[in-house]
Amino acid sequence: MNPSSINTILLFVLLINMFILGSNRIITAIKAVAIQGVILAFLAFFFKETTDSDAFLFIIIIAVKGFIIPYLLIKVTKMADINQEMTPLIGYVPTMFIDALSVFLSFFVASKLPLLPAHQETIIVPVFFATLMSGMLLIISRQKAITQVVGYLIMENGVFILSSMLTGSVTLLAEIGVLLDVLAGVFIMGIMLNHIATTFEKGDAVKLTSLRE
Amino acid sequence: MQDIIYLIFGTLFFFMLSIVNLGIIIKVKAFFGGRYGVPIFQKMYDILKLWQKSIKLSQTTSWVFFAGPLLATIVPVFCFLFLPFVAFPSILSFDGDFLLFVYMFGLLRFFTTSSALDTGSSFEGMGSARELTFSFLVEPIMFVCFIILAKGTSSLSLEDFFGYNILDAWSDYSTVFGIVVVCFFVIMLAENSRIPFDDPATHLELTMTHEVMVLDHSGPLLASILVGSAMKLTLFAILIVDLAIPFKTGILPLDTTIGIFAVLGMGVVVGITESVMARLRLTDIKKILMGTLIISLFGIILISR
Repeated sequence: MNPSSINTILLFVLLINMFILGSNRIITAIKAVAIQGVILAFLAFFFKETTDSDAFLFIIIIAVKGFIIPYLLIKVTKMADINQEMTPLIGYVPTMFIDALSVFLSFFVASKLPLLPAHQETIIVPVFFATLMSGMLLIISRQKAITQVVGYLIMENGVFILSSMLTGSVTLLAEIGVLLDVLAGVFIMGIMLNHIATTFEKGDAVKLTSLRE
Repeated sequence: MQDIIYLIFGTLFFFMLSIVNLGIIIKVKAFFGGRYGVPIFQKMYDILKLWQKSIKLSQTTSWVFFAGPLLATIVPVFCFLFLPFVAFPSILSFDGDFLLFVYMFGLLRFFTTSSALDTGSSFEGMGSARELTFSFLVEPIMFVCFIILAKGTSSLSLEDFFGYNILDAWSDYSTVFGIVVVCFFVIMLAENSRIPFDDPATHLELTMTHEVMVLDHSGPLLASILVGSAMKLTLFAILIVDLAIPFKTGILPLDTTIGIFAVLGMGVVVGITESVMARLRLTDIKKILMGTLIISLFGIILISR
């Protein structure tokens, strides 16, 4: 248990959230989420004595979050010929400000929660809330369907932060299950995006409301 | 008597350090450009040359036109008195002097922009507006950083911020202090109009920010502005070095040598940044400064919980 290094990693996670909300290119955002996932994979080493299963999980997480998912998403972006621009519904600077407010809010909420003393030293719980809210904010405030996948991945990273706090024998199985779900989700979303792109132009999520049976 | 000698030598040392620092930035940029570059003391020769020229004045100018260049030289020297240099304590110090430190730059900015507006040129008005927009975003960042330092070292003067308990503060709040170093670096680039924010070498009025404000200054007035901008850059470099090198060996000459090389190292870092980065668009500058402000606010949350 090393609070200072855990806090440093989590701070980087917060900064990457902010970076994604402020960036205006889709591929940059995808790469940033991949880096966020890889950084979070290191979190497991700071909590307890590392075992073989931890190393196994570490390799799987880096492979899936760092390479397979970004590869799939970038490939989809290029195949469906999606425009690189983010097309925000709320501007970049206002989004960053809302995110900053949500960070303040999550620190406030976390200070009111009855946490264990060991968990109060680190900023795991507030960063979990903040990352969840950043993901939701990205889903709400950007128009294209592919940015919603990115937002979903950010939220998954948030859930990973919380699950890494509750260390135990369940973590390996649960986390691999979640990773499989995420991978399947991204896969399905990729196929869907491709079909959307052939039906509508540019994968615009707003136009999905005009679908009829 | 000893204080006066200390003051004079401190100021002279600061002046020489700033000239060399600026020379090193120009050398590094020339190296990246594949050129040999001008001598390190070239700024000194420029200033001496400008000092011998006469002043050309517009008919619309008043005394305000002279106040800008005058304060451009005085303010950095005055602020240097409050800042300790590695092992040397600061020459002046009182509780809350960091407020004076921040707002002396506010005063300087007011008079620089006023003297630019005083010429009656429309380009200078545009430059002043941009300068004020950026600095109004920079000021809160600087303020927040100083508040973090005040909380981390539990003291209220610049001398104590970088004094005996900075090492303990670093070990307690290493993450937050790392944020402050990054923020100070952004402030240094933005306040001194270096490349990602503004190009000091550009001579197209539409893209200039800081340089456009000094277009109408000539001769000794321009010389004092050049001296002032070199000193301001070095002042921020010293601020970063004081924070980033918290440990002291206890041997005064060794500490001072490390400090001088660290300040010149900041010059190298600035030179590399300028060489590898392109100038940002005006709207992107706003975004970057907002982001830095938000990061520094994270620092406050982390340190106060």
